[in-house]
Amino acid sequence: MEYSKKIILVGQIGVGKTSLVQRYVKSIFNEDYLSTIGVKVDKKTVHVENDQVNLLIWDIAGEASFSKISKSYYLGAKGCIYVADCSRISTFTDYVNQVKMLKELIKDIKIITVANKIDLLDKQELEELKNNVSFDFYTSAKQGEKIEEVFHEIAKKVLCS
Amino acid sequence: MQLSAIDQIKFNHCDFIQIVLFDAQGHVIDSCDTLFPLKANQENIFERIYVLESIQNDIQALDSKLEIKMVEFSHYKRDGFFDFLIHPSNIKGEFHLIIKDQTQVYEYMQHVQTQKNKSIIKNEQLQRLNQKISDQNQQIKLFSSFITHDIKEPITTIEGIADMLNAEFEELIGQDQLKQGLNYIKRNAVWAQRLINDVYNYSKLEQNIVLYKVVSLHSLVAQIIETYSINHDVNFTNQIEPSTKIISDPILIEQILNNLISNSIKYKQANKPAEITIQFKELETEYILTIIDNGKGIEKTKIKEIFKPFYMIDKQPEQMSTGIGLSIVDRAIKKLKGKITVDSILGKGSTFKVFFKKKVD
Repeated sequence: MEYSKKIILVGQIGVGKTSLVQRYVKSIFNEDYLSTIGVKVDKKTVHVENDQVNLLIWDIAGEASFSKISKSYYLGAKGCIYVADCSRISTFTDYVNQVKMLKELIKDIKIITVANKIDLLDKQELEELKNNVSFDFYTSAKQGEKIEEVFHEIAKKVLCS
Repeated sequence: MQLSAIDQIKFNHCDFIQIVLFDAQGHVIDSCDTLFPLKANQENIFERIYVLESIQNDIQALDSKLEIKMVEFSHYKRDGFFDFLIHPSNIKGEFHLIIKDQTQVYEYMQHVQTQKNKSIIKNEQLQRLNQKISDQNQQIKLFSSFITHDIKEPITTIEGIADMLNAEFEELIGQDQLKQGLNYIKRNAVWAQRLINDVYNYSKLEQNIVLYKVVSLHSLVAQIIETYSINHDVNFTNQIEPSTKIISDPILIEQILNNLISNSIKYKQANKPAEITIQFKELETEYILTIIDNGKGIEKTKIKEIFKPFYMIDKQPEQMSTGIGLSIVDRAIKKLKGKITVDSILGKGSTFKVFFKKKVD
């Protein structure tokens, strides 16, 4: 069967939300940073067992704190990817509370957490990070590490909702 | 086409506005002023615009307008930023969609926001770097402390025992070889102590902050001269006026003078006492301290190298040089935001000029 599901990407500025989407949808990575304004919507189809899921991916600007995300952006969202930047502690010090806030804002939404930019850390730093925080995935949009897995996982979760 | 009343439509000659009438299934009923071409009754607008496809199921339940602002999307290879306004029609099952081109406005916003975000991210990175440096400095401090206390102690013991053996068994140790051996132990112990002190002072320089005080320069120079006059074949001329006072860090000034004078004595000409003159001048924004000697001189090609750590022009063991003295001078001068120049003639001597800034409040 074929389904269309809306998922949103949230997280602070510069964590790599747009880079994750661009890597996943278009297999490209741009070193130059360009701030997202408002929202950019992309679409990609993923196969989950016998089903075809059309993921409608809303990449939301990082400036919007979670309490101020426009209702029109999260209206109808079934899944959410929360993104943090491994190399900037400020982007994940409070991630547990922020995920909780999201769940209160958008009822029944499925959330997965992603720590991006692991290419900026050495082995020891990455191990230390994993010991201190608990993210679902550790990715690198630059190197294409674990990107497919992230979107496949969210597609699986939203199919159940 | 008949439009239902839609509030606050502004037509601007710069904007493209698409007014589309479509039913609840997303099929276009009518349109005008096309931003992109649609054939009436033949297009499913939900499939063409992902933004609308995402909320297709929710549109049915809309009882008031829904605004989706700042949407970046491409259509027919044209990238831009658009505001979407979806408005339920008076006719059940019908909706109005207005797409307003805001590319110029939002592109400018994007430019401003990008610069702002880059600055925020850069600051965070700098903070992280500062923390790393601070941690490393702390480690260096601990290491320096270890070197000073824990390594110096056994060396002091070696020196002490060599002295004791020499004194206690002076009569017995008449043989030249044995005496030479003990002297060798002592000399190396002294040298090791000197090296440890110099390395410690060099590393400490980086960590310490500059503390400005009123310094009686003539007195400071006189004290240093007195120390060296006792055991060395040297004549000093202190040309600094007795009343001269400067505002600087006395510890750094002392380190600079100590190491330059020590260097001049080490590299004096053989069979001749070292003649060292110390001068001082005050300019509007800086001080100049000059040390002139009659030593061996330095080759022009080597002048830049002498301030590098562990560099020695000629390694002569009797000089007991660690190769760090002039590096300490260099680092101390940099802390005072100054510079040093060297003029030298082989066989005649060298002039070291130290320029350092006056303290500006």
